[in-house]
Amino acid sequence: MMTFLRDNPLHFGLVGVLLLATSGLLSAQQQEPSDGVEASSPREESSPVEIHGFLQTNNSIRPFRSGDFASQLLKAEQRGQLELSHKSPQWDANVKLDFLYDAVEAEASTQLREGYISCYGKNLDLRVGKQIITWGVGDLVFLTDVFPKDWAGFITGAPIEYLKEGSTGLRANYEKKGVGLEAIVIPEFEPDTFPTSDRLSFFTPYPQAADRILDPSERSEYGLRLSKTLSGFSSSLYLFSGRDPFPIVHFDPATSTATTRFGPLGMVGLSTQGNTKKGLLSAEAAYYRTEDTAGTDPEINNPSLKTLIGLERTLKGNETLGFQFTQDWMLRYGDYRRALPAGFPSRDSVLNTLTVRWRNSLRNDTVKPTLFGLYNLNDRDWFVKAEAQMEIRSGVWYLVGAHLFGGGKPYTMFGQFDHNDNVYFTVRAAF
Amino acid sequence: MQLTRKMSWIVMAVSTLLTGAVVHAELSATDIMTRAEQRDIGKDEQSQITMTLVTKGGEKRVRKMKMLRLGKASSKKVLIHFLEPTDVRGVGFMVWRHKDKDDDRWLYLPSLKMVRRIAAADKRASFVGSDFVYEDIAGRDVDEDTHSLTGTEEVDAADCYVVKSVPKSAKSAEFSSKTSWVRKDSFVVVKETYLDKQGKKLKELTADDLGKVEGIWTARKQTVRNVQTGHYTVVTWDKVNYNTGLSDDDFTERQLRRGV
Repeated sequence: MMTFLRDNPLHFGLVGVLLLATSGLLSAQQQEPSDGVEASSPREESSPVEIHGFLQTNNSIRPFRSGDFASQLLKAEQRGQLELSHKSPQWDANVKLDFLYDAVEAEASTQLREGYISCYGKNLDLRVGKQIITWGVGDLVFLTDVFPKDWAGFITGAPIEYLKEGSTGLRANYEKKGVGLEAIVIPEFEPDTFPTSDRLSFFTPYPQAADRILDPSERSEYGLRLSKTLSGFSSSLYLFSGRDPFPIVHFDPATSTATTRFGPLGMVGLSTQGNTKKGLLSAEAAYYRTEDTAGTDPEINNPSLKTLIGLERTLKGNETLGFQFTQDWMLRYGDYRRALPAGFPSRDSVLNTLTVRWRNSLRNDTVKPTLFGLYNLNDRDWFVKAEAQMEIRSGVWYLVGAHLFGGGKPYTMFGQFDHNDNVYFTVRAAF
Repeated sequence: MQLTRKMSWIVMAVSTLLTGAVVHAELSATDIMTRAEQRDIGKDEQSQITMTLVTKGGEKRVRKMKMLRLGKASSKKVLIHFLEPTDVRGVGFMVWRHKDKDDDRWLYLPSLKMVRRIAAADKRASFVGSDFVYEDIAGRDVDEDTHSLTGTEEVDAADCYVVKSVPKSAKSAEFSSKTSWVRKDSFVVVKETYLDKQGKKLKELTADDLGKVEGIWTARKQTVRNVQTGHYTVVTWDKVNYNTGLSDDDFTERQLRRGV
């Protein structure tokens, strides 16, 4: 993903078109706004092409030796982002280009973070290009949000916005009488970014494999979201057909080759979020129909039902405390157990996870501490994220934080990162 | 005949004025606050606002935003998008007021393209680090407080009612009482002082640069000063347009996501 532009000429073209489109508007902006703009439109004025961006340093260090992993810098990433945008009542264009250099890996790259054109109609919006899509109501727990994420950056303390990666495709959003219908077409599946650095610990299935292949898993993805506010609760129904972001690894002993691919996924989900006397209530459920509908292939996740219930309460002022309880119900569990080869670790039929989030905002929003903890009651692995963001002046802030991972088993979600405890530090100056 | 007709007009005018004066004299504190809440502020409003946050030491932070409003009092809808500074540009906030139940409030984070709801109790939380709380942006129902008329005073040479308001439910507000100075001629609240739960002065609001925009009384500048911390916030309305034809369709999640 870091070498996105170099790898994918299609995106060079897209960036070029968007840059041309926005630069062509420079002259258009000198004209008077069209008289055809409806007086009722809340966006009566066109903006000139705006140039924004930031300079950022994001560094992460493992402060103490852990197992076979030495105390060392995990990341020393220097990032510059250039954002060009234009907005008018009828359409807008936005390009965010990131220029990166990681001193640890001694790698420079360019990344198209976002690049899209949107058209706005009376009830219908269309957006085409690379764009970030977020579904669901979970806090760092994703049930219906099956869109790409950068876990490698997240583990080493990238700013939270970088957990989400863009999807290149078309999104249509129709809204009438309080009912919203969002349709998404993504021609080409893009997987999450997983850690690969030898400085990080992570689970590698079939470590004996001499060769590792990534199956491109080409497949278009389609999503539909129907949304409406019901009795004060923002509620959505989701339908998705595409690829399961959870990888399937197959080992061929004859060739000693491990092949990673992403199987087909059908997902139906629901979410709702709104206020109750007890606080802000969130609930979400998703049914995953995976490739192994019979549940007899232990390499492939069984179909499952995932549920989340969360409550966030305000303690005082801007201080909030939130809890989430999630359950992952494996369907056809008996078939899974029967098919599991002897000696392979098995999972429980229902995985229960509890999260807690405390956050505050102090000194007129210039100091923002937050603490997030997650514990899987079955796998007994856990994750803690503690950080504080301090504003130096408008547009300039720094952030210090720490990640702690734990769990006795090296193949569980967070247990695999047990040796990746790290302290991270970010400074950003935006313009 | 001519004189008689003139006299009758004069008598009518004087009696109308007197009646008006009597009506004003007989207004209860609740009537005054209701008149202030219900005064003509247009069916809708589109504004561009500059919010300057100033520390006790004089350090300033500036936030510019675009605000849309539809309706007033407990049927009000407000949509705000930040224009500056860069790190909050595009962040959106929307509130739908409701009579007799908690407001619905949404926050849009453009970096994640995510809309999320905000807990109702957060209405007493600071709005983007300013000395305003979320409730100041959305408004507070008159019948949430018990009002008493404590007198009349001049503010900037204008006669004002002085009304003390005490929350009926102590939990419903960040203050134990507030005192409002309401201009008699326009029912614009030109000054407010708030006492905290311990009865100490908490903050003071003043409305300045009062004038008519499109026939509607408008305070183009408001200052809220936290007396206890020395921090204060100045809000100026750089552009104001009333009755622009906004509708419910302009206050939806789609519009919140669409941004400025």
